[in-house]
Amino acid sequence: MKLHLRERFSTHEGMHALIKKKGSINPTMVLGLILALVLTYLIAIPVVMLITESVRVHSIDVSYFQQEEGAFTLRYFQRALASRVSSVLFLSPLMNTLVIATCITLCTTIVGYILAWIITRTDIRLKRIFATLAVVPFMLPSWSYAAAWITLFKNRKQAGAPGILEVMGFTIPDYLAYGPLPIIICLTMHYFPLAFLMFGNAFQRIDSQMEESAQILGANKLQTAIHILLPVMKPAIMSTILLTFARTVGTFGTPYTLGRPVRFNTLSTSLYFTYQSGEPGVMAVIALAMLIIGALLVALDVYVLREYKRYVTMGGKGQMSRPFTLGPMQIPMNLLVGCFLFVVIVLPLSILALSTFMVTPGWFVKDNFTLQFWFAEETRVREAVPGLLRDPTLLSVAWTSIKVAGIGALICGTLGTLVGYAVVRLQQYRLSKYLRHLSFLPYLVPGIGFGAAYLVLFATGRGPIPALYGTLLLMILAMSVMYLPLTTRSSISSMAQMGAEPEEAAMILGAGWFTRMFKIVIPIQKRSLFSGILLAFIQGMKELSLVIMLAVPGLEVLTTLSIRYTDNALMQMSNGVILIIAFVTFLLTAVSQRLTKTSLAQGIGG
Amino acid sequence: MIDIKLEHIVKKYTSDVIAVDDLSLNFEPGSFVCLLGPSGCGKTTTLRMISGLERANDGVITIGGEIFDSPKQNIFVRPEHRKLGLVFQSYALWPHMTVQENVDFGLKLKKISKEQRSRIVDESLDLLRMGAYRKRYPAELSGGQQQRVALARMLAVQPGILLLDEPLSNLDAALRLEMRSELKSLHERLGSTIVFVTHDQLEAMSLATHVAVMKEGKLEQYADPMTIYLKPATEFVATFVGSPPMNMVGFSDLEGQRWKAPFKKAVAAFIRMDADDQRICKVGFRAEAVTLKRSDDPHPLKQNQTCIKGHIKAVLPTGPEQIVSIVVDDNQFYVVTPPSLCFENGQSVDMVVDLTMIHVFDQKGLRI
Repeated sequence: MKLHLRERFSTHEGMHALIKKKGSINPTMVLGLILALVLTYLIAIPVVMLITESVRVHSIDVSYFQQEEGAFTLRYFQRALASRVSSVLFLSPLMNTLVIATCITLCTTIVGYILAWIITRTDIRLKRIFATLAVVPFMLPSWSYAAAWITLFKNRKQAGAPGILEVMGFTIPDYLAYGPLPIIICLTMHYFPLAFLMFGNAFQRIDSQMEESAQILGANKLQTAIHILLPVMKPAIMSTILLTFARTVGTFGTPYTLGRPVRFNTLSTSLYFTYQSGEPGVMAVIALAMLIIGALLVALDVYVLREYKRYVTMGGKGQMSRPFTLGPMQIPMNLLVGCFLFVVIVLPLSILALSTFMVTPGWFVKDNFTLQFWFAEETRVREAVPGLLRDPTLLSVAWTSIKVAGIGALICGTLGTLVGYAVVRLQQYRLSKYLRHLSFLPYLVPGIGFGAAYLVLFATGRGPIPALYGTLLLMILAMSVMYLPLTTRSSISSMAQMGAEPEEAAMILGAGWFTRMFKIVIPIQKRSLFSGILLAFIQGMKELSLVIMLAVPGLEVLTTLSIRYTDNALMQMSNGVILIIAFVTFLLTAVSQRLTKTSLAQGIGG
Repeated sequence: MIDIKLEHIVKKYTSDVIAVDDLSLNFEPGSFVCLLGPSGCGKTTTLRMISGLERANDGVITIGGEIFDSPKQNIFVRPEHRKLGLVFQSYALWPHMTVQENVDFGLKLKKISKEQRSRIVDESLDLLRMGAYRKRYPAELSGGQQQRVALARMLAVQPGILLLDEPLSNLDAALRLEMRSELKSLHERLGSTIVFVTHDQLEAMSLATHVAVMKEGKLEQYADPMTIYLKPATEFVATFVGSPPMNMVGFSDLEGQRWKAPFKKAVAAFIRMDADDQRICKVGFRAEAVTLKRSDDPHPLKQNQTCIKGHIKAVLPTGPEQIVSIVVDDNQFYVVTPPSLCFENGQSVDMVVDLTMIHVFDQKGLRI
């Protein structure tokens, strides 16, 4: 009894002692083990499945291969890597992907770095507004820019309503209308906010006295920027590069919209096409390649983190952040940032909106303006489809979207909180490390590759788990796992911040594990949990790469519906759906900012 | 040995936030000057203006006979050309460089040859006893060690002036004492002019050859530490410097010159000292000016003594002595006594004040 009391009263060891106490079951450990099992099945197994699927004869190829279904084969690899079609199927898409991802990563890093520096480190005006606006492009569906681009630059090569500039009498060359150049520009516009956020936060943490020390010792502005600021930012730069690269490798909408007309394929579009044309073996090979890229990125991330651990930015009392004085450059700089944000936000959204009110976008005569794409019972333009707001399928699709993203986000938030709790509380065990790494894995894994893995894993029933292909449940499941890193990360940091003391205080007063969980931990974590769920919900609403693999006729979400309109050359309808998605995400963001009083760009604008 | 001259310096952050207001100071060559004051008094801003990290809005800063900052004449020498050293409160070591590289950086910028650089780095690190840690990264050092590296980094370039912005406030008490003595001996060895910013009056007293006490952007007093302590120029200096703070007795109502009852007799004595000076508004006396007696213990007052009656509120032993807090009406006084004296809470006592050790201030808080 004496020992027991001592255990309970030494605050620091109390929790450990409870875990180690012989003969009794520790609920946290049980939770950790259950989570480990669930996550292994949902994250690790799909990856393993892709490997087996790529070397196993599929039923569709039984007669062609003259082998039994399920037998070992390397013919899918051969087809992808060393055959007449390997260049079309795999090798050139791989090259294209790597080139595009490299260019986009470079561009977003530079744009994000400069913008973050201007907004966090100088005395530019309107900081807060700029910081809030700079995040907006990331709230739009990833291919919004591609859609706006094609609305503006489309030429005769593609069917459907002509592009605005073409109508106005310009001839647009293919290289400007489609292919790598517009893809790079559009995705840079979409992904730079990621870099902006990461750099903004990093800049915020850097003590400006570090730069001043260099200055005192005789370094000029340029020397300070190169020798001090840039190296200190290196960890943030590296993680931004890795994340952007992973996202661009896995993105589908933009290369699909802008690449297809000129047969410019990336791994993601090639994966989609092999899936559409019924080549599950080759699809598995391509998905595997994407996951290998993801795995390499994860490995690099781990290496980089370890490398930089030695000199993580040290916090300390007396840190200062004195803004860089722009002086006479202040007004030009304000104009420059304002123009940039206008080009990346107002311009594309206006183009999209304008196009939905015109029969032929860009032809500015009175008769050409129309409301039919939104309100007509039957549009008269190409196909007899109802206007968006009159379309009963749109309503049901929107409902599906909300269900998938909403339930997915709820599961994701709950799972993330539990994982965060287990990771922090079981810190001294290997299990904690395993959980942390596993739940972070989807962070750097290309989305469409993950979708393919889910397709493969749940195509048939396995053991007690039934086939889930074509069900809402599968989409929800994939969604909740894809965004798990978001909620886990925030949960781990807020759990660590909370510390063990509030729970230990409850323990001292005799509260059991479940009481502590529901009366102490969850109420304290409420805000971080809520904002995590909302963030996942917003991401889920605009997610395409993941769900494009899992959507089937009859089970569509808004994003896949928009792509289907694009397929049918119904540009205005497709743009309309994008605007609806954008409207919903903006609304949700506004609501969440109001409710949680936090925003993505929190603190960056000062 | 370089001198620093500040003449009528003004610094405004916005039109209504005045950080430094008409400050004039003269730092003699080789002196160790402390800028002392509560947070927000403009002492760090003053230091940053000397270093050139901040530009003055008005006035002239002259260092070593050369004008470095004068808005009126449109002269401003950038910090990288001022050849001085500055150690920050947060140390601001560069986390991506080892100790050695941190110290070497400034020398590299001076384009000094490699052999010479490595010799100077060794010397500076040895001077601060950090030679063994040259390969470490700052994150792998303790606070005190980081502090030494930050100092070594600035000393390596042999600045004529060393500016220190609260360099010891992040250290624990024991380390702080050690670094204080280290700084003092360093100053004696190097002979350079040191300007030291602190809000810790004890630190200022123990280190400086001169102390400049600041309040709300204005200079309150600039003198050597003992003068600051023994002859505080203002009421603010009197209460800010010294621990426990100086005891103050003031008019409750100036117009009628009525003193609250318990002080009546005492103040009458105070005032008699200064020949009925009408300007007198506040009277202060330090803890050591008081001898504490039990009220029931008969003790005839000597000449130049007066007595205030009060009750013991608490006794706070510090080891070599004890601080006794005494309540008189709703005023609180501190008295220091030897630990051998025993008092009980609530006990009534007489504070016997030595009238030769009182300080008198006028309505504006200026010493009379």
